[in-house]
Amino acid sequence: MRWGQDQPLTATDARKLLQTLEAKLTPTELAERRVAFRKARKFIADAETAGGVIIDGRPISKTWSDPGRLRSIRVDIEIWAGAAFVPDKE
Amino acid sequence: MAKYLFPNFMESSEEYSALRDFWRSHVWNAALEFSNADWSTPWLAELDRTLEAGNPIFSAWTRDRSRGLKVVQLPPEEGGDELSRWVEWFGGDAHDPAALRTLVIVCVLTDSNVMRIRKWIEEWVEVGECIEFEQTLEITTSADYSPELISAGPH
Repeated sequence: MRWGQDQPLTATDARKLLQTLEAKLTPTELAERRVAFRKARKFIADAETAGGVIIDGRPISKTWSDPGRLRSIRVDIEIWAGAAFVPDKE
Repeated sequence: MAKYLFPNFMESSEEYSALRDFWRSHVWNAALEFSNADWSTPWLAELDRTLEAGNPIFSAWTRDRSRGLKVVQLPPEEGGDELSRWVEWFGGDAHDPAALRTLVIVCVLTDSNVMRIRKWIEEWVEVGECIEFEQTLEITTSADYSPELISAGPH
């Protein structure tokens, strides 16, 4: 699931993207990534609290997986350029 | 029993900083002796400690070999003495000239794990393969990887 837009992706919209991704998974695939999705949401929330994340030349690449599972079964967030997970405008 | 290295890196700024230095000086610099490519580190953004949280704790890449390395470190309470790895494409697929074939290592840092990690990284920078891994374990690659920015893999 990719995004590319003129404005930074808001944390709210990022959470919607995660929801959309979860909806595409089978119940088994979702169960295998329950903790990973929770951690991805926490990262988005923490980034939102910090005012968002800004790429200054080096991409961001995060990988989460569930304890006790094959670690390659995972949820990734990659940000290649721009800014993301910014708070909603007042 | 395994000895944990930097076990409190998630709570301590000083330990986190020392841990980053450990990866650069004790693991990476030793591995670089096996490479004749021009590697750069860090490859990925280094965030503040609470946002980064060891994910990744270390990264490097080489443009001329189209190869990357990403290490994710887990705290002991989360992963026991876990050590795993796989190879994936970053920024595209095998047909994309800008994509990087990337070794991802997920680990809890113990005295025994660090020896294996050093070996894996040496192999990766030298020949771009995981020799020990291929001999002993099923390799996990994302052959059908698509460059999703938020993704759940492997598919």
